[in-house]
Amino acid sequence: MPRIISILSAYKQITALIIAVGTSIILLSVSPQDQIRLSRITAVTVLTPVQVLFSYIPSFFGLRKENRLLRKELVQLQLKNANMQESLLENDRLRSLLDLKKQSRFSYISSEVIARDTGRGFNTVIINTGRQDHVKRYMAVVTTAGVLGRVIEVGPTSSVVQLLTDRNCRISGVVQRSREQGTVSWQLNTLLDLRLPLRADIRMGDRIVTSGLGGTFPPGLTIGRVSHIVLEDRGLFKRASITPIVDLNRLEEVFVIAGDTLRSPDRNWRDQPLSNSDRL
Amino acid sequence: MIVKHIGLLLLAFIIQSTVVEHIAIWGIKPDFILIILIYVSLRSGSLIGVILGFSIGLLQDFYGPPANLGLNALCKSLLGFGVGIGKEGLYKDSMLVLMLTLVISYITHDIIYHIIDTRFTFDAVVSFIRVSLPSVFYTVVLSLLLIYVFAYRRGQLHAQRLFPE
Repeated sequence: MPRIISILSAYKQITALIIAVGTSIILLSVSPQDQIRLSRITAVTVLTPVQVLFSYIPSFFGLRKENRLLRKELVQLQLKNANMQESLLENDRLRSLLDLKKQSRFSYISSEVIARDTGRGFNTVIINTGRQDHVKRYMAVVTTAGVLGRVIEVGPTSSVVQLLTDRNCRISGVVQRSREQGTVSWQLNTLLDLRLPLRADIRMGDRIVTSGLGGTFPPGLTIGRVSHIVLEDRGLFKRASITPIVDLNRLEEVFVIAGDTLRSPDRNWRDQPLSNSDRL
Repeated sequence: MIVKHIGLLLLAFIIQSTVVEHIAIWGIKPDFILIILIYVSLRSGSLIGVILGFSIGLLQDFYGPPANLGLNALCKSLLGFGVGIGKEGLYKDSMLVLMLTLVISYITHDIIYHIIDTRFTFDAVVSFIRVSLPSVFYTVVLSLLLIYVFAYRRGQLHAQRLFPE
């Protein structure tokens, strides 16, 4: 034993390399255990306050321009909101006349992206809401444009979101126009892939939305648009490349879908006061 | 010295995860962590290079997808070891040698990364060409700027001593 130790200490660099490479290979080959998840959550939580500070730097420089844009947008949205309120009331009246079952709505937890995956792809982002804001694992995350991904780890004040462009993220999608169904998965870096039967009705520019199967994503959320269609080598399937609707290079404000909130005429969730986990 | 290097790597990590996205050009980002790890390994040697490479790689993995846990740790350990060997042999005050070290290290790192990330498929070549090659160029330009700024501030540019002992 002392001889082995003396040999190891004589070749410290090689020993350190073997240990590091060995540990990395073990980590790559085992599925994530609870201990590893705990280490991940701890690392993310510890660095969150510093990353929140640093994430203000880029936004600080664009503050004036953003303020002007937001004011302009606010006026437009106020006008739009007034029209929509009218439509909503009208819709409620018509529904009650038709005695339709009230449609379920979702509540959203507003979050900000504070850090990104430092690897080579667009795989994950860190958001500034966590367990304290009632975020849970596998909740869907969206932007105002469409689907972004799902929550895979939850810390007290931050969470890790797996993006659609991660190879391990699969989502059931449907062609909005023809209702053809398929599975959307990662293709290459920023493109997604949809496999459909050979006779499926799909065209360039078609909008792909979530089907609702699987339970994580509610139906009807936009995933992206078809940018390329090819027949597979053996001619059994069609493969469509989808350009995600969400611009992954410009992620700031995102929303976690917290779950169903049934509307009731006397207690509308939209009228509740805003909190940190403000509901839209 | 080691504390300073750990601090530099942590700073690079935080900048990489927060600010770098805003200086990306068409999604192409420079890699600050790689620049600092190469600098640290060249100054401190293989042992420190492996240890710090593994640690910062693991931290990166904690922020990445669960299926790739260990990938950055592996690539950065090898990088730290390989570059650290050059502590004694390389003429570090030559800008050309430094840039060549950066380019070769970056390319080797990314080849290993993409091969494992795509699980040994042809996608590794496509990912490498699309993501890594433009990033190498961006990172080299940025590191040239960094070296110039730091060496100039220390008054070492004229003396041609980029790595103070």
